[in-house]
Amino acid sequence: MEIHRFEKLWLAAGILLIVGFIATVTYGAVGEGVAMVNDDGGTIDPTKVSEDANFSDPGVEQVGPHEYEAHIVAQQFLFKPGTSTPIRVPANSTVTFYVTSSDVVHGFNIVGTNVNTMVIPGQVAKMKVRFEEPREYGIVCNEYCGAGHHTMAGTIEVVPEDDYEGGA
Amino acid sequence: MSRADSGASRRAILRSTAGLATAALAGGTAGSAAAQGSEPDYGGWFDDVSNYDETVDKTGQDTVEIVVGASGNNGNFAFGPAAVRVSPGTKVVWKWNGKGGAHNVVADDGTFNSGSAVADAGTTFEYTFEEEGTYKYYCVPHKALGMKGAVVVGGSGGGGSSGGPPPEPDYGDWFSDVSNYDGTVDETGQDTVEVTVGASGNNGNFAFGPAAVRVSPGTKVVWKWNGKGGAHNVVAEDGTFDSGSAVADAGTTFEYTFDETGVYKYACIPHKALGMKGAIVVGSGGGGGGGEGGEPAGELVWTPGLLMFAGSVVLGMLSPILFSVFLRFKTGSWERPREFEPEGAVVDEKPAAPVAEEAPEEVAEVEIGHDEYDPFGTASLIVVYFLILVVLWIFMYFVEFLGRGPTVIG
Ligand SMILES: [Cu+2]
Repeated sequence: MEIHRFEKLWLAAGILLIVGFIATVTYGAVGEGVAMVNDDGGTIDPTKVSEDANFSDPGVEQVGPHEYEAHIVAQQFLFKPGTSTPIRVPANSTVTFYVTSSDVVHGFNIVGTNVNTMVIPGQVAKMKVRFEEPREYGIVCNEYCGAGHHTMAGTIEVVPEDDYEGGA
Repeated sequence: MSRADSGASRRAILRSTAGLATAALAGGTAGSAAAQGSEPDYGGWFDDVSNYDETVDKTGQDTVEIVVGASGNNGNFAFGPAAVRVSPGTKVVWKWNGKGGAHNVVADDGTFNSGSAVADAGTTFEYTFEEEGTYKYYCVPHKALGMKGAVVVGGSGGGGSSGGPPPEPDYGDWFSDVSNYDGTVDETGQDTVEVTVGASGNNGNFAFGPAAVRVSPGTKVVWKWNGKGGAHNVVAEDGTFDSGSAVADAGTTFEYTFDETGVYKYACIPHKALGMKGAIVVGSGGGGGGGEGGEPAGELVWTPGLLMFAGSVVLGMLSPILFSVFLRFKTGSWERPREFEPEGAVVDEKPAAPVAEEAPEEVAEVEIGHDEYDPFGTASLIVVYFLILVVLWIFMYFVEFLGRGPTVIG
């Protein structure tokens, strides 16, 4: 069988493209450190979220130099904290979000970023996020959760490091 | 709840027949017609509140209780009763019944605020109403469902609408994205008028309370920071006044005395996009004043990224046409577009022009075998598709995915 040299060329280019795709994803995971949300956050009794040590008084807590933990409860139709009071974190910090739901499936998405997870009752979604610059971000619920779903939103305020005086 | 349903329909009937049938109603339903007559003008506040029927008269009582989580609005998303009239100095106690999830009580103009929403039965929140007026309030998480209420303090209520207020100034679309704007609050005749910076509104504490105020010329307006919603400032659209850079501290004040009549639009720069905008109307006129102000919200901004994206889409859609044009130019055969020139030795065997003249249609039917295809044409088509793939790949992963700010790293 005779294969034209052009055909050989684009067969090779096609294989190269596939290798390139795989290399890109590998680079994202290894080079840039992009991670997936997995089951590391553990489980929780969804009926007892308000009695849980971490979620009874959710909010931001400092756990180390430039290291913070944010516990957030999603419920119909608000983020606590987030909706009534913004989640406040300092710039130049690594924040680990622990998000859970006390009623139905919600979403937690920092608008315009890849920080996005489902919030499933009984599961704790854990996400580590690095905030470099002071900025205000929106949070939205992106899983239909009831009649007020379209109003379920909140705010994250990344404040300059020097101005930071405790989370929400 | 049947009471809610009958209330809604009776209201509709009353509304539609108010002009014509007052006399007919005067007999059997005199009581409710009279109540309707003295009902304050809530300005559409209760349009989507299923359990609102009329303002319940609780005047003369020291303490009035309102249930939070009452049945209504397709669930337990209501205040019971939705609207009450109380005497000045009355303590209103909101009592959570634990139904319908987490609720809170937030005044539309920022007068009172129970804080973040809680679900526990037995929770209470109280506020003593000293000043006469109509106080609208709502539950933040369930406002869209119709969980709204009002407390009317004193007399016949009616808010500012009874005295024949001056016409509402034309703000253009300045207030189109300001959730807490609900008409211009009349504060004329006062020496000093206070505006809260950080009032509840626009999905957080990103509002001026009240958003629009009418004052007399010579009035000193004092903006007072309540410390909520982050750092704010007060900057006039036309530069008349400017509080400087944004500050967050509660108790901060900024004042400006308005001597000239007109409409002064102002905003908090950090939160302008969220709808933190206000206006001061000086004098009873109002007209157009204030000029055209800011650019219309929501207009498409052609960022380089957007341009690149739009360009690739257009190019992608045009690529087949571009390619065919390219092919025709390459073969230089506008006159004989369907004729493919086989490679190599075959060229020599190509029939001379006369054949083409004799049977032009047959030329179009030339069969192209596997070995007779046009290698350059196919190759260039594939190159074009490769380029599109590579551009989309790079755009998707490196611009759209990796370039999106903070990301999950663990
Ligand atoms: Cu939700």
